[in-house]
Amino acid sequence: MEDNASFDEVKKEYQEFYDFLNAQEGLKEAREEARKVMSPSKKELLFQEHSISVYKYIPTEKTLHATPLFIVPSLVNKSSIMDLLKDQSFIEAMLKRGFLVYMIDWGEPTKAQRDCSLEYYLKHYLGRAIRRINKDASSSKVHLLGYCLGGMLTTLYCALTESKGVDKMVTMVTPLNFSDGGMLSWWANKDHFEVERIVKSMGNIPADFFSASFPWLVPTSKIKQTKLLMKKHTDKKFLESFYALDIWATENVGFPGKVYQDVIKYGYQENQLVEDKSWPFESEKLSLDRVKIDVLNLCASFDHISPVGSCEVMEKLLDNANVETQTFATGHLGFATGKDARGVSTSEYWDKIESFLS
Amino acid sequence: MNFDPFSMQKKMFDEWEKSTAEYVDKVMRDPSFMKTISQNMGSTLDMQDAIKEQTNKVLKSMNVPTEDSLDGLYKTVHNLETRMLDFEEKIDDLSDMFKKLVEISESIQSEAKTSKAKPKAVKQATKKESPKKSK
Repeated sequence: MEDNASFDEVKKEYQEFYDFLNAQEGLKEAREEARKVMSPSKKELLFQEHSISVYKYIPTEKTLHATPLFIVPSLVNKSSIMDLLKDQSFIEAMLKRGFLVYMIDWGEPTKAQRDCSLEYYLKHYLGRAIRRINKDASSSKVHLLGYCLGGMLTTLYCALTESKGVDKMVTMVTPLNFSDGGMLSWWANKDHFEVERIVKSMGNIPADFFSASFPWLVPTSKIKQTKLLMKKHTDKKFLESFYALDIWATENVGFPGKVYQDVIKYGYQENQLVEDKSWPFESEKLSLDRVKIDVLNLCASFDHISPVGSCEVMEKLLDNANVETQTFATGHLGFATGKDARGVSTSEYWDKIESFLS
Repeated sequence: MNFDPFSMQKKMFDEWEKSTAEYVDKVMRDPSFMKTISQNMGSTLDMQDAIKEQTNKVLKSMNVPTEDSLDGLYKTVHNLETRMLDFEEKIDDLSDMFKKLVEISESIQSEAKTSKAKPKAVKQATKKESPKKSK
């Protein structure tokens, strides 16, 4: 009996595999269909400078919060993760909660941007974006929200400018301790990663560099993904989510050369934020003590890109800020897509952000 | 005990997946492996640099603009765009200041009008009151 049951199961699996092989053309179409429905929230361009664009999202509800919310995504991935799909969009959720939402899109860096330092990116691009947003929203301050490495940028912006034009800050899965034993820290180790040499030759770091290396963070992830796809390739809703995430994860953007050098050298290799609670900007070394605002730091306990330990450390580093750390059982993308570690939708994280910013 | 080849096959696959992940992780954390990767990368970059240098020489000799010579042009365009946006912001600020000045001057003018109108009203009131006083 047991043998028969197992035989049926294996037969079913082989059938699934056979159907999956036959469905390849349809799956290619499903991927392109997913691309069409990504970034559902309506937006307008506020301004553009070099590769950078700042968008204003069209409010869907009555504006309840006078202070606008300014989202700063990571430099290495596309900003589409913050507005992935309908009902899986952080931006849509914030618009529904009556926030005025703006987001910076770093874009593909131009050749001329390869020599722009991290300080230039913060002072010049973020500074101008905050001024423009405040003008557009007729406000004097914005709430900053940094996602992943974007959280490090917002933190450093606050240190650099003493939080000029900023009311409160939210950081999501933001790594600040780079000696966390994670694979990324090991790859960037100065014993075998000559970042100056790489930047000198490459200029801006091309997107292919990241899309070729990131899958090795979890080497069997491709196998797991294929197994999952094989099981659910007839479920349209699943395919939409699956491919939207796949498109986001595999289509990286290039990293501006000098900024990459600064982040790898002072962040990953010298771990300046933890070792010295400061950052050596081009003009001067500045302490994190200069951050004196309320901060909500959201960490994910199943995050393999920004391990929870490297994010939770923020509370110990920002001595003069009022940091509230909240760790949830979710992965790296959970706060952006509103899904917990089991993939179940939840509004818990977004409610927390709303109550913090209100 | 029943021997079940199918569940055995599944278990073997799961074990293979797990051990492969562990093995790759172990290999990538090996300093000598990373050193080899680093050396390979260094050699690739050296080769790329050499090709670029030679190509630049050939293009220069043919009076064709090279990537490096275009860099200056990119930077000029980059700076022009930045300056244009700086001016745009300054013009915006000036126009805000101008609007405020207009508002202030309008409010001064309306105040002046009301203050001119006031003495007449006072005079009229005193005229009306004066007969009472004579009584």
